[in-house]
Amino acid sequence: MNARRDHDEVRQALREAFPPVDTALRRDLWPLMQRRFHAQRPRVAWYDWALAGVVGGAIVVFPDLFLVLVYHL
Amino acid sequence: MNLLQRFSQGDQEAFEALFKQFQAEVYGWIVRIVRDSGAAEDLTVETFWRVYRARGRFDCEASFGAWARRIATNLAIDHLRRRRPEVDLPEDLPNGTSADPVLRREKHAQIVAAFRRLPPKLRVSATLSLIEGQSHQEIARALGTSAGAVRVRVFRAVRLLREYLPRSGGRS
Repeated sequence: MNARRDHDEVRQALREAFPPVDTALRRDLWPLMQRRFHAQRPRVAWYDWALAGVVGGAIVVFPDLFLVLVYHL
Repeated sequence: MNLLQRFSQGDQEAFEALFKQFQAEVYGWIVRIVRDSGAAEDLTVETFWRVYRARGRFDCEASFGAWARRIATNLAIDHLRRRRPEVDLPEDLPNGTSADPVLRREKHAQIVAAFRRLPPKLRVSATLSLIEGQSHQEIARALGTSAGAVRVRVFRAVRLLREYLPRSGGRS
């Protein structure tokens, strides 16, 4: 009986203290979702680009190096 | 192949279609728990991000909405856990039946503070049951537990609130 009364009183007090929230979504969240996807795409570090540039340049200057590279890969 | 099957195999267009179909429902559920529209938007996006990452584990025969709601509920609980304030309550609280608007406002503030001291799992159950009027069954589905467990959580929340607010609560 007391528990029931406590329950009802607490519920009443909470409903008075917490006004109803607006549950309607006011905008499309898809653009935010796309941003989240974009943020998760792996980014290539600058030193990886630098290494690729050095290797590419070396192959242009010394074409035989390409075969050595392929062999080691 | 239906939309859910395409989604579970990583089809982005299927995911976008599901996102647009369920975003309002997931947002509505989260905002009821966290009661903050900005946080609810962020948590909705995070929910769908987790949904997308877990697509391989999705059972295409199951309800997508219920699955998303369960993930959303867990994220909302984590959010409440991170934001849990440390609040000290004064000993003397105004009487619940006071007609004085200042005292009533003060009492509301004390109730809100006491409510925020509840452990997040109890708080979510109490919010959805006592404030939002959701059924124990519905809450249980979102929490991945039984209706009986929800009933116990609500009971414990009420008991704790009674302890936090010993001299308030409407008894005059």
